[in-house]
Amino acid sequence: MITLSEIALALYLVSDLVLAGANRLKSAVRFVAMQGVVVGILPVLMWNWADEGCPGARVWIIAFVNTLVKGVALPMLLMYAVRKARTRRELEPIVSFHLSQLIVFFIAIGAFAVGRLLHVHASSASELAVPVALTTMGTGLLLICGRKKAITQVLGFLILENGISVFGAAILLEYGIVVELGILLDVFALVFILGIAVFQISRTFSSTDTDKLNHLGDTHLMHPHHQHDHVHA
Amino acid sequence: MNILSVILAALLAPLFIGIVNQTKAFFGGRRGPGLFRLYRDLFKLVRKSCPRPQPSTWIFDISQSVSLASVIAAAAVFPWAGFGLGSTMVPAVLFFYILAAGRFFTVIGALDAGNAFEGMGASREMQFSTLVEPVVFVVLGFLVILNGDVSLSSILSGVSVETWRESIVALILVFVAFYAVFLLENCRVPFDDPETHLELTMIHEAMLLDVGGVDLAFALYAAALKFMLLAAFLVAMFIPQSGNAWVHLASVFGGVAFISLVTGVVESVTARVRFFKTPQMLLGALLMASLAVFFLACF
Repeated sequence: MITLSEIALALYLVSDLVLAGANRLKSAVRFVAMQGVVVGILPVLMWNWADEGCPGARVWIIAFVNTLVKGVALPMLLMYAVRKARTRRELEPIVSFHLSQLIVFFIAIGAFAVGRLLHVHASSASELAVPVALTTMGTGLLLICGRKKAITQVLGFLILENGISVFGAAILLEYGIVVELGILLDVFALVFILGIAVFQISRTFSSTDTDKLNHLGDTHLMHPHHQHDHVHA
Repeated sequence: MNILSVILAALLAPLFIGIVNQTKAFFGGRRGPGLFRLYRDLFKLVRKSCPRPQPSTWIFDISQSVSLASVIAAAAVFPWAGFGLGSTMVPAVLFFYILAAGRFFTVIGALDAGNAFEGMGASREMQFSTLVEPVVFVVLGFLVILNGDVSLSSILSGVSVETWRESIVALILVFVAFYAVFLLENCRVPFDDPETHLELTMIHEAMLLDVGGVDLAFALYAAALKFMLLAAFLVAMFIPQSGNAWVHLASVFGGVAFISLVTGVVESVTARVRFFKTPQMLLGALLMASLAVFFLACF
């Protein structure tokens, strides 16, 4: 099953590079959903079938809940938010798409160099898992810092958490279920809140550009001529 | 065996375009033109004469024939059965430049016709082919490192099961990168739409606006042959080694049919990207291929 789990990890690398360059929000959400499904079934793929037989109910429950939440529920919520917010594209990101892809490329190379120094692969199912996890976390952080639309930042957060889950699956935590469900609850709550927030913001201000949201508050009292900027932009 | 496989490839080429179109028709909820539509089109076109636009010269006359000839030459040296006509001597780079020679003649033929749209199509075609070249070279570099030889037949003789197990991640990355090259070189949907005739979006089709009759049949057949060739290249990079030449041949054609099916699905579910987005997608493909080379060199 090593090969299957490595195919899954290769899909992660491909989708990280694609997500760094994706400007269509709907296709980005689809790729994140794909990542979610893969991270859900990863514990099953990494299970040592030959030596330990069929995995117990604990592993199956983690896989099922993870796939359901990260692969189905959250992407559906985000798709809903994309539709409602009527933002279909990420335009003019802070870090350009070309540069983002290059950065992810170098993050991957750095992660593979560092991943070998960490010596965690002795306890992990595949020596690729930790570098891929680090690359995915880096991609998530890049999307959080380098994009303007609130939905893309939420996507970045989800990718970051996917990376953490891959890391958890990689080092085969003994009491994994508690940690996994903790992470899951964390992600679920945050994405749920942010999804609703994006929806509400877009309903009120007709834009979810975080640059424009920075101008909210009382500042317009000091600069009266900026008063309507955020409303009609 | 060699000559037989090339003839078989030449006969089967239009069928794979039929598979793509039939898949798209299925997704679109239509009955579709049938798998053999392109054969009938070609048969119809070769019985017609070639009209020629007024200001054009002999370059226009020969362009489609030469470009078809170059694609046939590339098909002839391709190792369909794990080895090919002299393909132990043909370096892989030559294979791509035979195809590039064909493209060159299509482009100057289009410029010679003196039609503004064709000039625009020619310019776009050349721009994209320039961008695709680095990806092709990195993929070839990967294959040369993997197989230790530069000849076409040795890099396309298939990979052993051990290589599959050891460098599956690198193989997947190269597969995705070369699939992007495949779609772009054949003017398929995320980059170009073979069915569109809207002037703003045409690339390859724009170059064929003034071509008719036998020349159009040549152009359509060359496109079908190139589609099959690059799909076969993609397949032959990854199929496991088998001692038997017939098994290899059958698996290459089976793989091409599968790639056609996948392409039909991809075309049905993705929208065409904006023209200015294409270089960035190719950058992504280049980075994936480079990452694969990095894995192969360091692990």
